[in-house]
Amino acid sequence: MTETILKVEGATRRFGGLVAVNAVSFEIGKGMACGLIGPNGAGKSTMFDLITGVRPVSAGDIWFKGQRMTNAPAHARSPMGMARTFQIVRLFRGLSVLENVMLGLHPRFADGIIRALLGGKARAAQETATRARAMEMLDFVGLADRADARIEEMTLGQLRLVDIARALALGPDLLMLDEPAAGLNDAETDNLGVMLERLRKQGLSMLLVEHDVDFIMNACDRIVVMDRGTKIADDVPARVRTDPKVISAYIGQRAAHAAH
Amino acid sequence: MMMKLSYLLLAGLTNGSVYGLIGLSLSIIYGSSRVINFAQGEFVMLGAMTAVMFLATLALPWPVALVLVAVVAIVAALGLDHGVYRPLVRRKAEPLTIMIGTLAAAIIIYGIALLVWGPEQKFVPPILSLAPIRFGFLMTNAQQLAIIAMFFGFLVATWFLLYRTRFGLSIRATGVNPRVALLMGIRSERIVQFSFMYSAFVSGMAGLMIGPLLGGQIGMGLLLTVKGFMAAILGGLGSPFAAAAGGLAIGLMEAFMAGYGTSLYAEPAIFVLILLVLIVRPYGLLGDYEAERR
Repeated sequence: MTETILKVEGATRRFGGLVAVNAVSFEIGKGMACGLIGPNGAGKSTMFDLITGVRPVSAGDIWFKGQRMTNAPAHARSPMGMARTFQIVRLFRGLSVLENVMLGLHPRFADGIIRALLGGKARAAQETATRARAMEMLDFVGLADRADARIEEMTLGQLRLVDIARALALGPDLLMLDEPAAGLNDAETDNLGVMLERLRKQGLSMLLVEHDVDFIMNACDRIVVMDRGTKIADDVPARVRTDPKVISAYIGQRAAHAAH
Repeated sequence: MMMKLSYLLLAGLTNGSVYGLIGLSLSIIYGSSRVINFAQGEFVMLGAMTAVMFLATLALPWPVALVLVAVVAIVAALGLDHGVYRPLVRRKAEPLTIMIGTLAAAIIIYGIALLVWGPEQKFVPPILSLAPIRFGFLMTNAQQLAIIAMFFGFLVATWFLLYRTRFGLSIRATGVNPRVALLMGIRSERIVQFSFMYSAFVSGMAGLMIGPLLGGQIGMGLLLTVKGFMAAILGGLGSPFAAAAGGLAIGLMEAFMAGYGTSLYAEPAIFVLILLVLIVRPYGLLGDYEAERR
């Protein structure tokens, strides 16, 4: 196996008596696009929060690029090369599209207050570099012409792309996408698929949490399936698709829905 | 006739500049922390009173005194941040609770000032000359002009900081959503700390400059906080520039109402006016983006 980017070891998260994630382990190799799927309530989102550091693990460990990240706060994870997007797009209203992408660069250019104010030429040069890098990212997602638009003026599909541009700006080692296709129409989903394919070809490691099973089967090299907090499958898409445990988990849910 | 108009105009602009700078300070802190800092006027008081200490008592040259005044204001701001804001916010206090905390800080600062300087009004030595300068019918002096220039200077500096630096971008982002800002590696506590320091600096300088005209008295802080808050509400708390403009408006109204009416009714009349403005525009004369952010 190639170099491991992310290693999740027995990650567990309890909410009171409820075990949302129960001793889940998996690994993501360098350059691999890994999908995380499961029926509603499977613990995907909680798992995602544990990796990004939004919530602490109750037990288990998270390793990133060989370093133990288990107790690192969320803001310490992004400078290390972990970037994420949000299911409910969380961009900054009132700021422009370009400014939002520039914010993605914050950890790299994190500078002291004094330097920000008195840096002189060096500061001006960094300022220009930040702007240029953000513009490059917008160009990559095909939104360069909307750089000065305000966030409020964009469609949901465009916002997801802005969010991806923001996450990519830092040149992350791992890009984590939380339900990137949720709420998108078919054309927007296709566009997103093309974008992810391009990133995959560039060798970017990715973790996708997704509801849309067809979308994720096409976009990923490997799929981890969760059901009621535990991992029930971890394999290539073709085999996961025919895995009886996975089928029954999904059909079980459909049956439950039908019974309602 | 013209003399009176000129006098009132200049007095209004000068006081308005100070109200505006306090409004700007309040707005910057509100933007990053959602807290109204009731101790803001105390920074102005500290500016004026430490100016007395450094310029008159210790007779230091003014550039040295200016730096020391700034240092005192910033140290007081750090005290407010570490003594009130952080302990409360880390215990998950609501902004309203923290506001009461800043009120407590204002009382403490006032108490310490009482011990140091006593209750009587002090003469604050002006850095610039108070000798009259005449431009046509306008009568002014160098100190007044310097205050008005400082007002616009701080407006430009604040604009540059917020809109032309990455640090300013992170200040604005924190104002929109501190939680998401944190996920992007922006530590909102540091941003809040900076806003306390910056606004204490602005207010301290305002105190240093307005002291010679208002006179230095340890009780001046609360009134100035109220004026600055009125400025921010009138202009729009969501934008430092709107808040600053509100300050100028209040300064001018106050001067003209006192000059052409009676000073007895100046305050209530301004309050009525602000009330009317707020009925028509609940987010202030110039502020509306604050509304859509919610």
